Amino acid sequence: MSAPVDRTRRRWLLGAAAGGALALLGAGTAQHARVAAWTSKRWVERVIREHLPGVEIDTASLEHFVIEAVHGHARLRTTALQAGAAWRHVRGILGLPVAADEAWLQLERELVSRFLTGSNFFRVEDPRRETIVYGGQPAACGNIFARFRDD
Amino acid sequence: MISAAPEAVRDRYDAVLVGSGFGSLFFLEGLLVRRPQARVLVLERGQHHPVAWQLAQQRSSAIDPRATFRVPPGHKPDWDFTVGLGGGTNCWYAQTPRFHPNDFRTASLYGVGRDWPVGYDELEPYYVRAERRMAVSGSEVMGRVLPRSAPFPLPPHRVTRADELMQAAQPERHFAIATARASVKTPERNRCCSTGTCRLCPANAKFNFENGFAALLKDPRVTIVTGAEVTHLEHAGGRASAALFRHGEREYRARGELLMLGANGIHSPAILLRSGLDHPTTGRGIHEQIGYYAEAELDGLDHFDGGTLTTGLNYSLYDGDFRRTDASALLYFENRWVHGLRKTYGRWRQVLPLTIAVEDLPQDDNRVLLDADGMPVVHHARNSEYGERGVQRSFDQLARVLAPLPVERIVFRGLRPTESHVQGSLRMGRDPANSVVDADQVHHAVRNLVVVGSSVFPTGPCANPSLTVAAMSLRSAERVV
Repeated sequence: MSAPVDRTRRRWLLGAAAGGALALLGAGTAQHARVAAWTSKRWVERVIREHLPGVEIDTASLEHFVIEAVHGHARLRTTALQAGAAWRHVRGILGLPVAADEAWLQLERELVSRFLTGSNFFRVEDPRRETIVYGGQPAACGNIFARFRDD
Repeated sequence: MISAAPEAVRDRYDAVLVGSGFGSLFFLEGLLVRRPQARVLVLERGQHHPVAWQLAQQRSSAIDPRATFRVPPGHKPDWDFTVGLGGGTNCWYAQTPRFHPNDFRTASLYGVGRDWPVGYDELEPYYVRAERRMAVSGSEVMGRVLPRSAPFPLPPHRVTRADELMQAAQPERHFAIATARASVKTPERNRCCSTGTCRLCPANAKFNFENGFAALLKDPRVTIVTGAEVTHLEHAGGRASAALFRHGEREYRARGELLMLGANGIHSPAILLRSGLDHPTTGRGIHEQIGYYAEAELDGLDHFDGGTLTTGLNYSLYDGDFRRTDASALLYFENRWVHGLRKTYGRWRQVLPLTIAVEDLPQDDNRVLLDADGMPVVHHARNSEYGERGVQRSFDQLARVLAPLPVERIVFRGLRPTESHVQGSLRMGRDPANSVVDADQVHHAVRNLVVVGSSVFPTGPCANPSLTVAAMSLRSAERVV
């Protein structure tokens, strides 16, 4: 019976630490920007993992995706948006409810879609039996489901 | 030949063309068929950006179109076009449905808008020529709605399973898309591989300047000067004599027997207004389609298995007596995850994105004017109520139209900021009192001045305009040159 209590306590400690770090560094500073970027990366990672329960994801390629998402994806480039992602991450760790804001839900959807279509997820027979590796967004011919006249 | 140096301009040309988009290029094509020995000057404000440059830069031009015009506060801010050699052929998505026969006679049939001075039957042979030139892919059964005298040059793309279900249930209304994205490899283009980024096609699958008109760059009859911004036309006694253009810090004059204006629906009227050709309707009526996104969440039907960006067109809401009160709408069945895959594990592909384009009517209050410094200002305060009703009606009817599919829920995904079509600011008509150009696209008051492009559209049908622009330019050249 003690495990759930421990997990809850650990969650609070992690969340308090992340939230405290954000608060202490103060908005507008370079440190704040760095913490926001780091915490928003963890939010992206959590979004992917939450939507793929039971799927083993290659850690290095997931980190590559996370960096690509935070620094390359137009929607997450600004510090303000990164701070928003960081805030959602902290609340997620704490188990606190997060408002079902349509824009954030849409961003989650875009992230999950980019990860899935840039990985081997749809190419393996059973994604829950093989490690899923993110390889990057294809420059051309990106619809992996497409069928053509000569198929 | 192409030159960035205006010193290449000779004393006089048989024709001086302003702009180099669809309207201009197809007019030039028709002109050279009629007069193979003609000497032609093309003045293009932008530069020549090869596709490799566009892909590397992830943009079709070095010039941001928004920097070329102004918009008053509170007016529609988004008008999209390419300032560069080839104009819209660079950035278009290569959707090429014809207009519906009844689009040309809405006033007679439904009591709204204006009848065009040219009808579908008259334009049909030119549609065929334009489709051949662009190697359009399509299905013959589309002729049930848009009558055809010749087959499509290329076979249709493979449609999705959702399209197949729609076609089976609505054989008279749902068709494989007509598109200038190649369904099979041609000598000039690769087969479309469904990249989904047609604005900057990385596969050389869509028709564009580079694979369609590059021969002009070496044609000794044609001189193309880039970086040449035409500001005025010289005219007197009902005849135009020259185009005045800026190149860098200097101004130049290019004389021609025939002048053709195809600078787009914002800049063509601006040039006429600066030139004192300020007929009361010049610049009035600027508009484009009203576009919006919707999604149908599907139960058990996987989507995105077609062979190109958009695979199906549905005409259920296009034509009928409802057009007396509500605008028509064309439904595009998208084969790309515009808003993402579904987020439910195992049901990732069970969603059908739709783009809906709704007709809008030109309104005189929406117009292009000039600022004190000569910069065009686009006043567009509102869509027509007719168009807005068409948006509502089309969304309300979606469940009925999509009945052949296992639809769980239909979601409105928002208005599109622009359809990238600038139309109606120099409308054509038979009556010089309420139109700028005649049925052959010749200016009513300046009889050797031709206006091309969608600026001459008297109404704003919901289908994509580029094919119609090309067909009309071919027709105009045949009749005027």
